[in-house]
Parts: sequence; structure tokens; C-alpha cells
Amino acid sequence: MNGENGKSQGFNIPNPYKMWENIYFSAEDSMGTLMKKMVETKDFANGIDLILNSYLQYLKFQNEMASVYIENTPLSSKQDTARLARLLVALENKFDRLEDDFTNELSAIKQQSNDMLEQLSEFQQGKAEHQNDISRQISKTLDDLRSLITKVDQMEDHLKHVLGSSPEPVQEAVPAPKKTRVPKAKS
Amino acid sequence: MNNMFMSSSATEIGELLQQSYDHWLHTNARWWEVINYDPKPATGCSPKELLWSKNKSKLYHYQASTPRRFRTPLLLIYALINKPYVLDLMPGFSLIEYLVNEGFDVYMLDWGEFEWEDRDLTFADLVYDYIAPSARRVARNAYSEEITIIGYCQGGTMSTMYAALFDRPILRNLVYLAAPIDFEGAGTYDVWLKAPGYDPDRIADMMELVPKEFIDWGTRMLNPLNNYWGTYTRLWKTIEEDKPINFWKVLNKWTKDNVNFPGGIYRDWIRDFYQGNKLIKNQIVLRGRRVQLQRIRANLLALVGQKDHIALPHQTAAALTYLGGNDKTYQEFPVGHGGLVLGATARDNIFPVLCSWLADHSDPWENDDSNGHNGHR
Repeated sequence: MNGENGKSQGFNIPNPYKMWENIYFSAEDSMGTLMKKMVETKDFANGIDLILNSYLQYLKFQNEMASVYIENTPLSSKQDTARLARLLVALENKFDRLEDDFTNELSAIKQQSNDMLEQLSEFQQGKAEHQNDISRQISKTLDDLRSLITKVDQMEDHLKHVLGSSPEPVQEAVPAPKKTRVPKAKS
Repeated sequence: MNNMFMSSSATEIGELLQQSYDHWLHTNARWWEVINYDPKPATGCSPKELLWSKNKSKLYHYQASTPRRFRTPLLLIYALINKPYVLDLMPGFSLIEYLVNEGFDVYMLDWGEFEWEDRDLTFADLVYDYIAPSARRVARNAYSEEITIIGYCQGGTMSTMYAALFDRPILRNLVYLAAPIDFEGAGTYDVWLKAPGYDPDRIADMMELVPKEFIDWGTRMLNPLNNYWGTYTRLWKTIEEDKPINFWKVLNKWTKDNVNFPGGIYRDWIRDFYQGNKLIKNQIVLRGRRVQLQRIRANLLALVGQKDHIALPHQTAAALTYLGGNDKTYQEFPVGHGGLVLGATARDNIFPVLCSWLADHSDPWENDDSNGHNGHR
């Protein structure tokens, strides 16, 4: 290298790390696409199924052997634990059903109470209206009665006036009332 | 770091080579450390209370400090593969957190981890004994006669069966997130599961409780190099580029967190759905009652990922044809299967679409003291 700090003779080399990174990620992308295409093929699916079915055969053999062994040991198996857990879940189901029933009943009672309250309020409203009607009728009857009394009074006055202006007095047609002794009240 | 050391002096090139080497060593060391020693990140952090539990499953009610804006409650139903905390992955990247903050009353059914005693469970058991009671409890707890169900992947398929069989509480909205309905042309699964040597009855009979490793293998082998090895090289690249790795750690935890599959359900899933495609033919019968898709009158929102290789877009789009009801919305996003609920695209583009649709299709919350609610949950 010549010159000040060697700048006179410039180098033009790539950053190896960056280069590696670019190459790596490009390769990964390509490989990824390739593998994605590969797993989409029927051959891949058939190959995988072959492995899967072999594994299932092995699993069946293992389960059968294990169940034979576990049946003869005095230890509880995972089936036993599962049975217990299922009982608990069944119990939870029952509680849920009870809770639902209770809530439904409660809602129904609430609804019925609301309906009854509505009916009661309607009845009370109707009763008040009925009372008003009766009051109105009584008032009307009283008014009629008053007007009747007034008319009777007027007729009486008129009769007195007519009788007062007559030349001959009219004889008493009705006999005089008997005198009755009023008993003295005991002291 | 440049690709080329352009016209540099030998000293500078040496220094740059040394720097590159140091960085490469540091990257490798950190990569190894993250894979082997870093603690697992916290997931499913949104505050919640247990509303109901049965067997291993749990129904959670999510709590919020923000006022409630919508009366119609949301019930999230997850699949039986991996765990449901993907819906509440981490703060800032959580569908549940987003929905709760938008003012929805959110519930989620967590299936738990199936064990030996659950090996004979069937879809009928899950629909009748788990989903239906959950829906009733959600409606009761929310003081609502109507509910919305959001089904993710297989959870969407199960929600469909529930929706076709149960009238109460009224299912107002049904939301699919990458949920397969039509199982014809299911991509790679079509090739594998319809191969002559593949017998689901035999698998269910021999394994009884299908181990989680087998299920995990079936999912990962769809794209083997990418799923088995690519995930670690992606981590290496993330570290090398000095980007945050927390999201990778969370995602890695979730993808490895599998659960066993009850043999009875495995048999039903493969034989009746993938091989028989009985759902769209109305041939699924659960406890003597036929699942008729036309009976579903709920409003439908189907969100799918264009790059989804597990539930292909047309598999979900079939719901538009086969389900009853008049209000149906379908939308695709340029993401994969998990991308509908994971990552920045989900948070920034998909969650707002989902929330907006739900807001339009839910009753607004009105403060009503007679219900004993004051708007806070």
C-alpha cells in the first residue's frame, strides 16, 4: 500500500459477513419454497402415511402390552384416574344443570311477579276508576235529589199561596193525631 | 453495515472487518442466549375475572377502566389448536385490549388443556356443554338478550354449529377470523388428509388423546423449513439488525404452546369436515339435531388473510353463500393465518375495521341504573 494511509490505492472487496448473510438467506428462501412444494405432493403424503401407520401399529402393540401389565399390578392406571376425572366432570354437569334450572326458575318467578304486579296495578287503577264512577253517580243523584227538593219546596210554596188566596177555608179532611204519652226516661 | 468496502484503505478495511466480525459474534451470542436462556415473556395480561369454569375450560370476563359504550356483549371463541392468549398477546398488540378500550363488553372461552379423561369429547359436547352455557352466561351477566360471537379459526366453525342450533340468547352478530366453513380445496391439507392411507378413525382409536406434538407437527409441516428453522434465522436477522425482539419471543412462545386434541374431536374434524365437507351440506348432526346453515340469521363479518395457508380465503368466503341472514360483509387483508390478530398490520388495519363494524351492529350503552350497571365494568 502506498501513499497516505494507503488511500491512494483503494480496495474494492465485499464484506464477507454481509455476503454470507445474503447468500444464506437467499438459499433458505429457495430451500423453503422447494420443501413447501415437496410436502404438497401426493408422494409425500403417501410416504408420511406409511410412517404414521407403522407408528400406529407399534402404538397398538405397546398399549396392549401395557394394559395387560397394568391389569395385573395393584396400581391405579391412567384409565382409573380418567374415570375419576369423568365422574367429577359429570358432577360439574349436574351442578351446571341445577344452576341453569335454578336461574330459569328464578327468572320465571321474577317474570310471574312482574306480571302479577302489573295486573295488580291495573286492578287498582280500575278500582280507582270504578270508585270515581260511583262518586260521580252519587253526586248526580244528590244533585237530582236537591233539585227535586227544591221543586217540592216550590210546589209547597205555590200551594200555600194558592190556599192562602182562597175565599173559603178548606175543612180538615185528615183527623187530628192522637195524643200519645211519652214515657219518662229512667234516671 | 455496507455490502462492499468501497475504495477503502487496507487499515480501514481491517477495522471494518473487525467490526463486522465483532457484530457477527455478538449477534450469534445474543441469538443463542435468547433461544436458550431468556425467560418467557408475559402474555394474556389484560385484567379479567373468571365468570364460569367447567372441566378445564374457563369463561373469562375482561375488565376495563374505560366507560362501556356498547350493550351487546362479545364472546370470543378460540380454536383447539395452540392457546387462546394469541387474542390477548401483549399490551399494545392485543385484540381483546383493543376491543375493551373501544367500549365493548368482552368475554372469552378458554378451552384449557385437554387430558386423558377428555379423549372421547366430541363437537356435540363442546357445542352443547361448553359454548351454549357460555353464551347464556354472557347474556345473563351483560343483561342483554343479544350477543355477538367472534370465532377464530376452528372456533369460527364451532360457533357456526352453535349458531345453527341455538336460538337463545339471540345471536345478533357472527364474526369469523380465518374460520373455515367450506372444506373443499383446503390446500396442502386436502392432499394430506384425503390420501388413501390416512385414516382418522385409526388415529383416534390408537392415540385416543392425540398428542400435542402430533398436532404441532401437522401445522408446522405445511411450511417445514420456514416453521422449524426459519423462525430462528428470523430471530438472528432481527438481532443482527438491532431491532426489538420482544414480539418474536411472544410469538415463539405461542407457536410452541400446543395442547392435546381429544381423539373424538379429531375424528369428527378430519372425517366430517375435511374429508366429508359435511358442514356446507347440512349433514352435521349433533345430538340428533341437524346443523342447518340457512338457520343462521345473524349479521356476518368474515375477515380473512390473503396469504392464509391454513384456512384459505375461499373456505371462509363460502359463509356468504351458505349462511342465512341479509347483512354479510367479507374483507381480505394481505396477511397470513395469524396475521389477522398478530402484529402491527392487525393492530393498525384490521382491529379498526372490526371495531367499526361491531359498533355499527351493536346497541349503544345507555346508563340504566335499573340494571345495576353504571357503565363501568
